[in-house]
Formats: sequence, C-alpha cells, structure tokens
Amino acid sequence: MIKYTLKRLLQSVVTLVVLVLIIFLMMRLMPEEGYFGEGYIRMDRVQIEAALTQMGLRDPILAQFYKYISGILHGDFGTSITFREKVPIAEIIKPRLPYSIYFGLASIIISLLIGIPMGIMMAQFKGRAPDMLGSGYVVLVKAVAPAVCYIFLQLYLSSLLKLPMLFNVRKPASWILPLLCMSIGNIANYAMWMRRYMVDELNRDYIKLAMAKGMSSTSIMTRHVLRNAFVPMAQLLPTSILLTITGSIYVESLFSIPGMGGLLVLAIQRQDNPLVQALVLIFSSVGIIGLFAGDVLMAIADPRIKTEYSGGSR
Amino acid sequence: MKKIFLSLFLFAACIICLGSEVSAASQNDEYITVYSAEIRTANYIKDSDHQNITLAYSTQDSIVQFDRFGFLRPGLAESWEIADDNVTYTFHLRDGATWSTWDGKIYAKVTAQDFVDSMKWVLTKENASTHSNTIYNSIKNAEEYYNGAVTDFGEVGIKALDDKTVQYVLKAPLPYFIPQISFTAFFPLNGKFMAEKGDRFGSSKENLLYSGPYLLSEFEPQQQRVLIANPNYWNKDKTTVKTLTYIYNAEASAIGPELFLRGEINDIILPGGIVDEWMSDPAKKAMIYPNALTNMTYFMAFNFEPNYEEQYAPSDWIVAVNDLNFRKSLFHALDRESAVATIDPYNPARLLVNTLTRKALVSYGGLDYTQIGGLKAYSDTESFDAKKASEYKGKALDSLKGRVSFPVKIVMPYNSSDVEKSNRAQIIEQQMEGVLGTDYIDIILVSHPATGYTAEVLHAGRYSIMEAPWGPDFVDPLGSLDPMLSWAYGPKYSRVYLAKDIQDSDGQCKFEKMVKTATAEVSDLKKRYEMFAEAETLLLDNALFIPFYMSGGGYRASYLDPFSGTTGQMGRYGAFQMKEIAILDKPVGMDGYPDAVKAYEAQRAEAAIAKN
Amino acid sequence: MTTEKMDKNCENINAELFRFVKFDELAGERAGYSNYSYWHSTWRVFTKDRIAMLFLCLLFALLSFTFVQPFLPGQKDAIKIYNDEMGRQLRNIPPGTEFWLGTNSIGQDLWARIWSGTRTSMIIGMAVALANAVIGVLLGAMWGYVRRLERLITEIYNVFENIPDTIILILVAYMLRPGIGTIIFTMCLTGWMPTARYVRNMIIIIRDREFNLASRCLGTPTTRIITRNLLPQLVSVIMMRASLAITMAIGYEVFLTYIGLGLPVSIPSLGNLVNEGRVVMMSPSLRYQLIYPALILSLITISFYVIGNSFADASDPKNHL
Repeated sequence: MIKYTLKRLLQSVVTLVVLVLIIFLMMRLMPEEGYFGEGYIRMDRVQIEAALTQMGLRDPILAQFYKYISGILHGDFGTSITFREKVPIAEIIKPRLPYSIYFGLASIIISLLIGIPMGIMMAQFKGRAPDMLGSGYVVLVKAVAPAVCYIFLQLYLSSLLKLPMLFNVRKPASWILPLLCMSIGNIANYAMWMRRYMVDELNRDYIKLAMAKGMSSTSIMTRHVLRNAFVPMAQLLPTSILLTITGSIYVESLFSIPGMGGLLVLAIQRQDNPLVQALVLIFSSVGIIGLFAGDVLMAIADPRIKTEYSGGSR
Repeated sequence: MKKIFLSLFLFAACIICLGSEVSAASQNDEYITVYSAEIRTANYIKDSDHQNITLAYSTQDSIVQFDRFGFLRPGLAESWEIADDNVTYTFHLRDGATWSTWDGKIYAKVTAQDFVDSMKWVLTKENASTHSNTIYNSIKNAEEYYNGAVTDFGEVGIKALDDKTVQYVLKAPLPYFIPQISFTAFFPLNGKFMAEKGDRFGSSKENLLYSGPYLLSEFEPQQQRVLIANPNYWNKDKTTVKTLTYIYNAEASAIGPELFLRGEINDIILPGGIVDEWMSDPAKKAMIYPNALTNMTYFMAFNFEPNYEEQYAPSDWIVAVNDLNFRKSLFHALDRESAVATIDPYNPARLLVNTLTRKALVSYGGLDYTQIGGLKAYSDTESFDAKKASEYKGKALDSLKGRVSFPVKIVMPYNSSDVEKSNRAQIIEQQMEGVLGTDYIDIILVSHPATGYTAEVLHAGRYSIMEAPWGPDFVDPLGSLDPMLSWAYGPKYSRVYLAKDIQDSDGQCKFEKMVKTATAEVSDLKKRYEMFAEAETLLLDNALFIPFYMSGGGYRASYLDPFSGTTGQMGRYGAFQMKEIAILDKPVGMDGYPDAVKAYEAQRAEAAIAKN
Repeated sequence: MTTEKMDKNCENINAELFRFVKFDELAGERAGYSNYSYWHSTWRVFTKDRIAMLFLCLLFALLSFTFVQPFLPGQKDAIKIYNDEMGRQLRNIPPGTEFWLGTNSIGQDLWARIWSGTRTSMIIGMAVALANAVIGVLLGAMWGYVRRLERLITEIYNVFENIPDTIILILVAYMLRPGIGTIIFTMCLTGWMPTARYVRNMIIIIRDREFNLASRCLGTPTTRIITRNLLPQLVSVIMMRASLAITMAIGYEVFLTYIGLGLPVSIPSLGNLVNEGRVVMMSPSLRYQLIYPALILSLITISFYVIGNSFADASDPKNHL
C-alpha cells in the first residue's frame, strides 16, 4: 500500500509538472491583444511594448518558466496581470474559496441525503413505480441542458416561492435556489449509481444463495447488498465532491455567487497567465486528489482490494 | 468535519429564513444595477477602459468640469487663465478640495504637486499607463521624457508654481485643451500615498484615495461594488443619491430586465432582442427611455491594402476598390437603418451618422460642424439609395469589365463573440447582395473570436470591408479623422492614403495634406473647422468609407432622471457620469421622454443665457 | 432422499417402457447445438424494453426528418433574413402559419433554424462519436495487446485523465478559431479515453483465454488476432460508448457556446439557438425562442441516453436468459 501510494504520488507530481509546462507554453502563444482591454485600439507600439515588458512577457520563455516554477516552490503564485492588476493570485482565490466550499459541501450533503435513499428505493422496487419515477427524474436531469434548466428554475421558483433571484451573503433565503440547482444533478448521479450497483449486487449468485437459505430480505439488503454496493460508490464520491466544490459555472454566473466556478473562464478570456496557471494547477490537483482518495476509500471499504495493489497495476 | 456542520447549520438557517426577506429598490437615494464587465483596477490613471473611466468620474474630481448641460465650470480649479502664447495654461486650485480615505477620513489636501505627480506617473514607461499617449500628444517634452530623450521631469510642460497653482505648457497650441484636461488622464494623484502603495495602488478600496463625490465602501471584484457619498467632498450638497450599488452578474443582460421588474434594481440597459416585448406592453413601456448615444462611432472601412488568403482574390478587390463607381455602388447599397435595427428596432435612424465626425462634437457660431460646407449635403441626405446603387453598379460593370472577375469577392469579418454584431453582419451581407445582386458582389462573412480581433483583423488588414470603431479623444474634428491618417497612432485603419483617386500628381495624399494645413490653423476656429470639413468632404465625395452609426443607444429601463448627472468634454455623448445624478419616483417612460427632452432643452437655453 | 428409498423407486420402474435406439450422428449433433446468437439475443432483450423502443423510434423519426426537412416543400432557409415590404426585418414574429415556430430577433425562421441546428449538432455529435470510437479502439487495442506500448499509453492516459475535461476544452477552444472543425477536434482530445480504457480492460481479459492462446500458438499475426478474435467481443461496449458520446458532444457544444467559445451565430446549432433563446428568456412573449430548441435538444439527448443505457443492458449476456 505504501509503495503504491508513493508511486501514485510521484506520478501525480510528474503529471502536474507536464501539465503546467503545457499550459504555460500555450498561454504564451496567445495573441498579445488579449492582454489589453478595449483601450488597445488607441495604444501605439511603444506603449504596447512598455506594457508587455511590465507584465514580464518580454523575457525569454525559459527565464519566465524558471521564475514561475521557483516562485511556486516558494509558495508564491505570482501576481495577476490582467484580471486584477498587481494583486497576488492567492488574494484573488482566497475570498472565493469559502463560497465554493460552503455551497459544494451543502449541496453534497443534500444530494447524499436524498440521492442514496432514492437509489436504494429504486433498486428495491426495480421495475415498479418508484423505479420508473426515479429513472424518469434521472434521465430528465441528465438530458436537459443545465444552461436551460437552471434559468427556468431561477425564473419560476424565485417568483413562485418569493425568493431573491440573486445570491446575497446577507440574505439566507438567497442560498436556497442556487443550492437546489447545484444539487439536482448530484442527486440524480448518486441515485443512478446507487441503483446500478445495488442491482448488480442483487444479481449475484451469493444473494441468490442467501435468499435460498431463507435470509430475510432486509438483512440481505443491509448486510450484503448495501455494503457491497457502497464499495464502487466510495471510489466515485471524492471526485464528485471535489468537482462540486470547485464550482458550477452555470449556477455561479446565474446567481452572482463569487465562487471559483467561472473564474477559470474569465481568467482565460483575460489572458491572465499566472492566474490561469494557478487555477489549472489547483483544479488538476483536486482531480488527482479525488481519484486518489477514491482508491483509498475503496480499499478501506473492501478489504479484498488491498491485495490487488501489491501487483501495482490499476 | 467542522465545515460540514457549518454547512448543515447554514442550510438549516436557509430553510428557517425562507421567504422572510424580499427587498425592494427604488428609493430616491439609492442606485442599484447589475453589471457584467469588471474593471481590472481602480487605478484611474492606468487604464482607459469604459468601466474604469465611469468609476473614476464617481470617485475622483477633475480640474475643470462640465455641468449637466455640458457647460464648462470650475472643478478642483477655481479659475484659470491662458497666456497670450496659447500654450501656457495656469490653474488656481480651490481651498476645500481634499483627499479622503475609503472610510471617510481626510488624508490630505489636493495640491498643485498632485497634478505633477500624476503626470509623472503616467509618463513613466514602466507603469505602462494607457493614458500616456493622450498626454504626450499635447504636453511639451512629455513624449521625450516618456522615451527617455529627456530625463529631467522638470523639463516637461507641467509645474507646481505654489501649493495652489499649477501650470501646463503645451507643445503646440491646441484649441481643445481646456475640455480635454477634464479627462481621467489628467486627474491628480497624491504622490505620498502612491509611493506608499506602489504597485498595489488602486487594487482595493483601501489602496485608493478619493477626491470625488463618492467613496468606495465595498469593492469586491466579480461580486459587488458599493459607493457611498463622500462627506468631505467640496461640492457634497449636490450629491443626492447617497449610495450606488453595482452587483456583478455574468448574465446581467439576460436576467437584468427581470430584476428590474421585480424591483431589485433600478437601472438596466435592455438587450436589443427584448425591446419589442417592452414596447408592446404599456406598463413596461412606461418604465423605459432611449439610452444616450456614446462618443464612439462606427464606419464601414474599405481596405486599400488587403492582406488575406488568395482564395478570396485580394488582387481583384484592390482593382475594384480603387474604382470610384464600384465604391459608390457599395456606398449607396448599404441600408444602414435595417442594419442597426439590431440595436434599436424602433428608431434606428437616431443611431445613424452621415459623416466621420459625429453630430454635436463641435460647432462654431451655432452651426454644427456636420453642417459646414460640403458636409451639409451628406448630413441632410440618407446614403442608402437602391436606385443610385444599381446605377453605379452599371457603371462599375463597364469600367471593371475584363479587369476583375465577377462577382467581386468581398471579405467581411465579424466578431463572433458579439451576438449583436454577428447578427448585423448577416443582415448586411444579405441586404447588400440583395440590392446589388450576387452576380456583382459576393460578400463572404468570416468569423473571428474577440481575442485578437483588432490586431489580427483590423490592423493586419484581413478584410475588404468591415465595421471599424472610432471615438475622438478630444473635441476637435482632428480627433475624428485620426483613423484615416497614416501617422496617427501606430496601427493603420483603412489605409485611405493608398487610394489612387485622392493622390496628387506627386503621389502624395491630398486628404492628408489638407488635414495638415487645417491642423496648423489654431487661432481662427471657423477657418479651422471649414478646412477640416473640406478634407472630410473629399473622402465622402470619393466614397472612401461609409459613415455608419453611433454606439450606445437602445433602451434603458430606469428610474434615473435621464438628464441629470454631470457631463464630460463630449457632453452627454461621453462616459456616463454618476456625479449629481437624480433618481425619480417613477420612471420617465417612453411617453414622458419627449417632454423631458423639451424641458431639458429649455433649461439649457436658459442656462446658456445666464452664463453669458 | 436416502439411497434406500431411491433403490426402492428403481425397483418399481417397468423395464418394458425402455428400448434401445440406434446411434444417430445427426441427432447427436443437434443435441449439442444451441440456437443462441449473441446479436439475436441482444436485439430480443432490447426490443422487450418498450420505453427504449419508443425512444428509438422517436430518435429515428427525428433524425430522418432532420435530414429530409430541407427537401420538403414550403420550407424556409435557416440563414435567410425575412423582411417586410419596407425592407425591415420580420423580428420576433410569434409562431403562426407563415413562420411555424416564429422568427428570431433578426427575422430568421426558427423552424428552419432548429432543424438546421439539429443537423449541425448531430454532425458534430456523430463525428465526435466516430472519432472517439476509432481512436479509442485503436489505442485501447494497442494498449491492451501490444506490451511494448503499454507503459507509454498508460502515462499519456494518466496525464490526460488527471486534468478536468473542461479545462482542456476551454483552453483549446479559446486558442483555435471557432468552427465546426475546432469543436470536433477539441472534444476528441479527451473523448477517446473512456472507450480506450474499456477496450483495454476487455482485451486484457480476453487476451489470455484459451481460444486466443491457441490462435497465437498457430502463429496468427497480431492484427488478425485483434480484428478477428478480440474486436467482435467489444462491439456492444463500443456502440454504447458511441451513443453516449453523441449526448456528451451535444452537451459540450451547448456549454462552449454558453461561455462564448462555440460556433459563430451564422452557423445555426442547438448550442447557438439555446444561447440566443436564453437572452430573451425572461420576456414571456419571446420565451418560445428558448423553449422549442430546448425541447428538441432534450428529446435528442434523452433518446440517446435511454437507448444507450438500455442497449448496454441488452448487450450483457447475463441478461439474455
């Protein structure tokens, strides 16, 4: 296990370095106009060069990369160049994190509380009304484009329930709609996964044996099916939690939530290289941590899996 | 684990408070709106983006101001005089002007040195201010200092004679300098504070000093911006709206109108697509009024140096565009009203300009510049004329026969990130091809993302015709003619000087010669404007561009008094100023708007008499 | 039952009921024969799922209509702007007899645009699905079968898998010019990975089965082993992935358009139509401009989703009994 963990960690670091290098080079291929606002049309060559030099974009690429990497090693992500001029990246990201974390966690808890029981119900009543209803919900949520779905929810629910349309930290009521929007997708996901793993488990021979032995169906459900169905769930959960926390671009922009969701898009559009690099680093690390945590969780949930790791392959 | 509990608690709190609070806007002292374009910095002498300038007019004060009628009045300076040499301007600052911190404490007095410090910062190359060219195009030795030819700032044409007297020296007489000095590029700056904050100046509410009517009480980019009245402002009695709240929303234009209807905000510009709905509903119609036009105009540029792929036959285009009949056929074929219906479907004619220089930029003796000389004929007639277009088409078919292959391919790029502009491009393509026939021209739409649009399309010459934006930087026809000149600003627009029709026998551009002589005329304004008008008429006579429309416009759902608020050097065409803005109990509405205009004009005439 | 009892029972059997038969070779063969056919069973199970069949018919009708629509009489051009006699655009005309689904804000026919948009989006979806299937199968097969490449592909896979898809999508779409080609390319960059992983896992399972070992011992070339022994086993997985890839591609197209990196408005697509509709969504009388495209979009994605899932169930031999 330790050997495996170390190997995974090392691999992740290599991945991150490669990734940062790629992003770093890609951002430097962007047209120079992107670094300026609408004022660009009136700037003359001397001014443009002065501005680019001031942003550090006229140094040799290798020097820029070296500076950046050594900065990161000292815990310094640099300062924003176009998004909020001269403001350290950490200062931009820090105030946004709490919103994303609160919304993400709250939405995950709601989704788990509703999604998992829903999945269990669906599996138990496979093929009957609850299953059909639940599947209908899952399909609907997965198939209707979020871009359309959320704007409808925002418009109708806010007027129906007399809730504010925009998020405002000081108004607790304004948390409800964005939370709801963030949760409906996850509820569908969890319900769907739960149902699928439960059904898979129910089809296994040992369950048939247990039934033949005359075990009560509740104890089959709790002692065998649920426990085993949780194993694959355990692997998926961390990634899904982390993805929720990094924010939903749709929900955040519709409800004016100052979270992390839309930040990457904005940073890329403004061509704020240091900010883009920092965000890619964060999001990718989150992705890696999610996968890793998933593996570990799974190993904890299912003792058989540990032995597989001795082989070292996935 | 703690965080999970916290979130659970928060969620519980949400449920408990459900529906307990519904806010209502529209008090007379609070302005609330949503916006989607964020500023990069609150440093007003660094950036010249629209949003930045708008904020600067609220938080800072200028040396001279323009009242709500567009008349010049004292600002930070109480009085000023211009020396006989026409290049030395001396301003005497007022007593009560102060710098405040964001929480309303007085930091220092505004002194003459602040103007010097500000200019020095702008002219320091390392600071990369986008305002530097505005300053070095007018002030003596400024460009030399910027480029390092002069190292002693004392040689630059600005001096603090004493604490309350500041003197500017220009490199040449400029008839428009007094209005221009009201622009953000010339705003003062406290040198001590700047030295203390360094790079971080303007990055947060704490890192900024305020000399204007409002303080930034909250400045959270991509979240919200709250401005409150500055208790130390010398003219604070005129600030009736005490709070300005700007809430960030990436989809402000989609959900803003609904927020307005629910009373959560009290000012929003309607997107063009939904104007129909608001106009047909009487209740909604009573809440909107026509939005002001801006200083930016668009013209259809003809490219005389095409630089695009062979498949679009640039060599054919060069031959065609140098043919007067061909240009004239395009000139008369563009139905501009139908094209700008994308912005204002109800009154598109309001947006149109018939000259390169917009209406109401300058006038002499009550006569607007666009009515001078040969420009009058163009100002009074609509350029779209299908009959004339096909007439010229017939002539062009003859003169171009055998020299180009028909249909002539016309590359028209458009910014695909902008839905309104993309829609307009489609309309123009179909409309012009409809008038002239696809046997004659073939307009090819080429989409390009917003990134690099100006540099890679306009400046690089990757077009045959395209919508080109321009707004004069100062109140003079020269400011409008800039994009047509080979020497103004680094990048080139349409390269009109390459047009064979307006070249002298010695190969020089007649138009540019005329502009040069007009620029040299600084004492007699009438003569100056006449000479500029003559030069501009030359361009129009030769159909070297198609005047198109002014930006802004559309409709605004708002409780604002449309004619309140101070103005700038461009009058009501400039950046929208919140200084001295007034909020009404009930919106002006489309029906009330004409009366409001009349009342404003009457008051303006009265004020003009009182002033003289 | 005890042995004694059994013996007793045996004693009661009447021997006259039995007689010898001659050995019949044909009948012998028949006994060992099963009429089980994989595809037949898959289809049989699939057709039992009535909802999936409904959606299959719906999708089929929808798709054939999409491609037939421009050739029907009385259709309008999706790009053409319709003007009145005054030369003004017929903007925001509500659905009616002239314009069946109304017009948009510059006077283009929404009905024609929806079908044209569906075509564009379907072409993107199918191209992405096809490319993903081809790249995924090729890489997956090499990954699972060619041991020398295993390490390399694993590393590439790990790098890509660790980056959230949206990051790659946004970055690449931002850097290239907007267009159908760009969108397809962007989505293919990461889209092949799930297919490749499935294929690889399947191949690793099959590669050491006896029939395959036998083939290898007999000296069959690698390409032939992959195409004949392995791929036929994978068809169901590939088809399921492809149908889900179409859904995914359409969803991503909408997302890219939403953040301003999609197709130019002059090319109608479902993403563009939805995005244009969103802006006027808050106005009740213009809401139809969002509802109709959203409806078609949802129908298509639901259909593919249901069919893909149901097919996955049906193609699992465990469900064939």
